[in-house]
Amino acid sequence: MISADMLHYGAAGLALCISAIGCGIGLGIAGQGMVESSLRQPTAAAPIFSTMVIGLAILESGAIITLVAALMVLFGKPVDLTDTQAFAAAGGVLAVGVVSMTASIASGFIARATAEAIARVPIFASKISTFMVITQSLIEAPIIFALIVNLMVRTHITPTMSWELAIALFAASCCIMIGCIGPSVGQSIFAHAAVTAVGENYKAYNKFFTFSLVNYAFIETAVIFCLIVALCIIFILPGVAATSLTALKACTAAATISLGSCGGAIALGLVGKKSCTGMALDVSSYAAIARLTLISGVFIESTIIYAFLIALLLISG
Amino acid sequence: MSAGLFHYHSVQPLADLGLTGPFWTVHSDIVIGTWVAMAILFSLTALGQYFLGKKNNTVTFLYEKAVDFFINLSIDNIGSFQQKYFLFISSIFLFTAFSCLVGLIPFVEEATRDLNTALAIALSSFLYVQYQKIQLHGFRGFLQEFIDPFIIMAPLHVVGELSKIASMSFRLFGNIVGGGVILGMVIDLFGRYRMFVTPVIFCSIAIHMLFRYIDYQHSFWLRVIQKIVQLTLNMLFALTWLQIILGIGEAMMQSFVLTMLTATYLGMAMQHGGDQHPNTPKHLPKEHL
Repeated sequence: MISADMLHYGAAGLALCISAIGCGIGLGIAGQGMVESSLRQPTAAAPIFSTMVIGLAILESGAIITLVAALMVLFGKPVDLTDTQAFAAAGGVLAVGVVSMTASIASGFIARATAEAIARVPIFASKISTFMVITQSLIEAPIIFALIVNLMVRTHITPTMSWELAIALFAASCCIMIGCIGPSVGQSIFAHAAVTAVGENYKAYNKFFTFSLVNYAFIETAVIFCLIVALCIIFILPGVAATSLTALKACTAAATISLGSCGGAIALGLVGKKSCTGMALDVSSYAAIARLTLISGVFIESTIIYAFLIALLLISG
Repeated sequence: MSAGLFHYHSVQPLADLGLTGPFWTVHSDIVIGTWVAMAILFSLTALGQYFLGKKNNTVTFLYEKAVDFFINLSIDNIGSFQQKYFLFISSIFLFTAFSCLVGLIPFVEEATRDLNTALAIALSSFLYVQYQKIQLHGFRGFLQEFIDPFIIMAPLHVVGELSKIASMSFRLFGNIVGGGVILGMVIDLFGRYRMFVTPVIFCSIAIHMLFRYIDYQHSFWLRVIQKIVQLTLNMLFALTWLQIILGIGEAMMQSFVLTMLTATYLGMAMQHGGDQHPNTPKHLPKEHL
């Protein structure tokens, strides 16, 4: 009943649909924040508007990247489409769609927090908008990673592909697809608190800037591990003769790292949120709070690293 | 780059003797990367030796700032200043950071792209901490720690110690490989000119920063150079930021985390067992250095 054509067109449509839902929600949250804070502080309407134009443009880029991936699927349709080909390609494009959905919703919250922060301190608008641009582009980075995985999957698709290999490639896409959800949520929680804290205590901007870059690097580690495992599945497994065991290994490794990184990434975001709130109240305690956050981050991240270790052992063993 | 994710050029120097296992294989580009990092470090040390004899010098000031940073790091994490811990902590930071940063030089690979280097760094940090534990508390005290509440906990303690090595080495290795893969994929878009991308970007940044202090408005050629540099940086805007975040930021960040972890473990090792050892020097003020 499910034909190759249906899988092919359905995946492209579904991916764009999912991504559009996420982008719509994100844009809606950002627009709501923009209007609300302009109403609350009408004198700051001009800087809020010029900042939000950039913010909305970055938000929109998620949907555009998914559009590129979907168009590549639609126009790259081979003449004799087999089931395996359609299945593997569907995974790649769905990964881009889901990742862009979560990342867009996450960065929508940050855009709203930015608008509120500018309404609080309009004279500091340029620094806050720089902060927002860096934050948003870091949160949207997983979309680029998913696009990379999608491109790599597409280079490995051949007409005479076995079902085992197709399932392994689909697992690689699923790895980055599910693995990006946790870090997106964590980064959203943390960045929302960081931008709000900059608005509350703008004199400590430099300290917040370094602190949040370190925290982003911590949370982004989970995504990078997912990317490495996905690329390992794509590049190492097809070299081996594909049996059902290799497909199973690929699926297990993908599940290990993608599910294993979710909890840790959200926990890191929560820790960072609390320390940002504390620092906004009392900047003199910066050194102690930053050190404690870093140490707890290291211990939380150990769980992600164990998942990564097991995933790598599964693939290579 | 992307195709050979874990592919290294390898040499088997003892193949004539029949020793051809993975243990006897040397990853040549990784070794070259380590040597380049060490050469840079040695030349920086020699430069420091030369400049520290002089007074009121910018370079001297920078070196003193760097040393101050490490002193603060060790005091913050260990609780007191000790010369040997300070030396170990600063050297582990410098070696890790430069092993990651040599990847920016064309034709040289990051030394930490290989799990072996990351494992070696993590192992040396781990073994040093264990050695210090034995020195401070004696061998009996060292063993006592493993059966702390009661003897059933011993396997848990052993696994806990071993997992420190795994998490330290894999954190460094995974982050550097991930950053390298993403950068490599973007740079591969330049085809056969990819070797020149990184030097061009960093030279442009350097010239751009230099032009802040130079009066270039009066010279035609300087203005042309300034325009070209600005155009390059504008065109490669995204790649420049990617290089700065993934190339430099990730390396500094990971080596800082590794160093801080080592210092924290050292501090925990010293505080273990209640009272401090009588031989431990008390907190030294910074002026005494």
